[in-house]
Amino acid sequence: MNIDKVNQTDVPASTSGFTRNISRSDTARSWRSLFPSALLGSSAVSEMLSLIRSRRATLYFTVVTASLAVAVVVGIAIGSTRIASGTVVRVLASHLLPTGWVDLSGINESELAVVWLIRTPRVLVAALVGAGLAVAGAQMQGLFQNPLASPDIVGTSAGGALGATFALATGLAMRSLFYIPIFSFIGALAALFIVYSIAAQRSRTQVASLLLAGIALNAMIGAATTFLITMTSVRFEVAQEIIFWLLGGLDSRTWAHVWFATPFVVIGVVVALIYARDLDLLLMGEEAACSLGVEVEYVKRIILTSAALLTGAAVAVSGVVGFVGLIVPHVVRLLIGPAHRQLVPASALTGAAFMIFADLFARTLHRPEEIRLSIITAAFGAPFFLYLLMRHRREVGYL
Amino acid sequence: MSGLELLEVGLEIDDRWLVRGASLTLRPGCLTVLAGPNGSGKSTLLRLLTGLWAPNEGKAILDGRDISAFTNRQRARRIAFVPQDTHLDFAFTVRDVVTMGRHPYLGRFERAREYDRRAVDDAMARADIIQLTDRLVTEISGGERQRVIIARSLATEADIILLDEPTANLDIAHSLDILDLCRRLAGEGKMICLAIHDLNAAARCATEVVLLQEGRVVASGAPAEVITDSTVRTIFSVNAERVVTATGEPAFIFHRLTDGNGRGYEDR
Repeated sequence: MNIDKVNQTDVPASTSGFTRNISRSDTARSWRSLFPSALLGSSAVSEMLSLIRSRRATLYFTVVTASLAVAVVVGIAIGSTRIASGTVVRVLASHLLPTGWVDLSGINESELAVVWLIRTPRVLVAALVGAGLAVAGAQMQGLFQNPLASPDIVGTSAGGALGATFALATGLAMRSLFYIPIFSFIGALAALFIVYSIAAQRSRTQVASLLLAGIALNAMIGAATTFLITMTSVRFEVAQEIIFWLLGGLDSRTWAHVWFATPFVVIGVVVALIYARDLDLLLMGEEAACSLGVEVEYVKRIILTSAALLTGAAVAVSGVVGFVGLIVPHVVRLLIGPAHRQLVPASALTGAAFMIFADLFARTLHRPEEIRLSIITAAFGAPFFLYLLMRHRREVGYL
Repeated sequence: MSGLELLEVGLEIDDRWLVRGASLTLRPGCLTVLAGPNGSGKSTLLRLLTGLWAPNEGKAILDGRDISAFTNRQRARRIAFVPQDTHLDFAFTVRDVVTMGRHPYLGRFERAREYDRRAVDDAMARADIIQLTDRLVTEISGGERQRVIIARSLATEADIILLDEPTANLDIAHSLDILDLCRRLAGEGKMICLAIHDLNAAARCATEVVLLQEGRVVASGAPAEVITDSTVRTIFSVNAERVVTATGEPAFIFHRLTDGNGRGYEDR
């Protein structure tokens, strides 16, 4: 993982042909070649280049916001009965705008109910889970200073699932709706803390130790979860419910789930934004961050808690959905750069849109049955993860 | 009193004293070099100077106050640190990285202002990396990275700059560039301290050399007084032959200790 060692010889990393950031650097280079070299470094050129970069971010935000809006409408419109997009927009508007502003004539009762009571909460939960996992992934990648960290790979999601399983198996979940999220948060926090204290040695996490700690923890937690399920096998429906939910899915989500997940996702995103610059500095190494005035231990505790809160909330409403927390921040970083002030909101929007589309696939690919959501995200995510690992090996030569 | 000093500091980790009884004063305009073989405590002493590590014994004093009395942000405005292991594998631009040096001055929701931008420009100019402004730090060379990190330390406007083995991964030309830059910064009145294992580099650029062995200060003073045949022999177990180069600078050629028959120290 130590890129410095690779670049000991003073050869620019780009000549090795495996530049981390091909699209960005190519743009920059081609722009630079348009100007005579005497102009290089003059403030006019540098201002122009930074303008292009900020335009790129603006463009990205515009595109992803539009995609999210389209995803919401399409996600609500498509289902076992098709509903016209116009109807969807009108129903949504009628609830968001003061009564009387939107004309609902010609929309029957059942369509109203399907749009507002069944599909809207499902789509919103998908958006919240996607945003939450993506931001948790971005935070964990900053925390571990490692682009391969994410809630599922290091076992945080599994920890959350174990907590929720505990709440379900012991029957606590029957008493109050809040036991599942509380226990999944505790499970996620414990798992994240354990993997962090094992894998993060000397200010920086090696890829190998992070992945190995994640594998071990995932296996341990998986065993504990299975044990819990076996213990409750007398009550067949409970075990069935747990297993179904462990596979990750968004079926029969209600407004209660939306209201439940919203505050956690909002808090997580706000925390990530408040500590955006500290996260940037942490990517430079803990010692460097500390010498530049970051209260490293304090910031790490905050980020750890926030990432666990986001993961716990996501797991509580959707089960374990893999790879979103890994892919989304990664792709966004490639497109608009690693600065967290933009990375965090862009990841949240991208994760939300991605999850709505993934859920749409899950619902429609094999109708009338649903494919589990985690299967869809794994089908996209696992090859991407393997690609990242291979590229990492090519760049650095070892894990 | 303005300046940074260590008074009889010691640091013990796992029942082993990495540094003990070491005293050291940095002065404006001075380039102090911590030299010694591997494991002699150079990096430890440097980290005690940065205030990142607190000593078990003795005191680190900044401006007459114990360094632990400063907050991280206050300290970061006075002391900049250039670690040996610089992590630059996230694709920030060079300007982004140098701007991070303004962190100790910016409020949580504040963005870099005109003054900060000027400080960053100035730092990049002095580290001679203006031409790299919009390059990504993941695609520049090792020598350029080192300059970027030095520029970041300059952007903090700290008057004390501590560098850990700044030339360790660089070829000769880039090493000389970095050492010249350090000397120039000392000439501007900053307090510069380098940990370095290369004695020739130490002799070439230092105004003061502190020789370390097994966590203790063995000798300190002007390079010519400190780097002598006897100190080099005891600390590094080699013979030093002092030669004067065409430019009048001293340089050393090292020979293994021999028993007079041409056989090496280890052959005996």
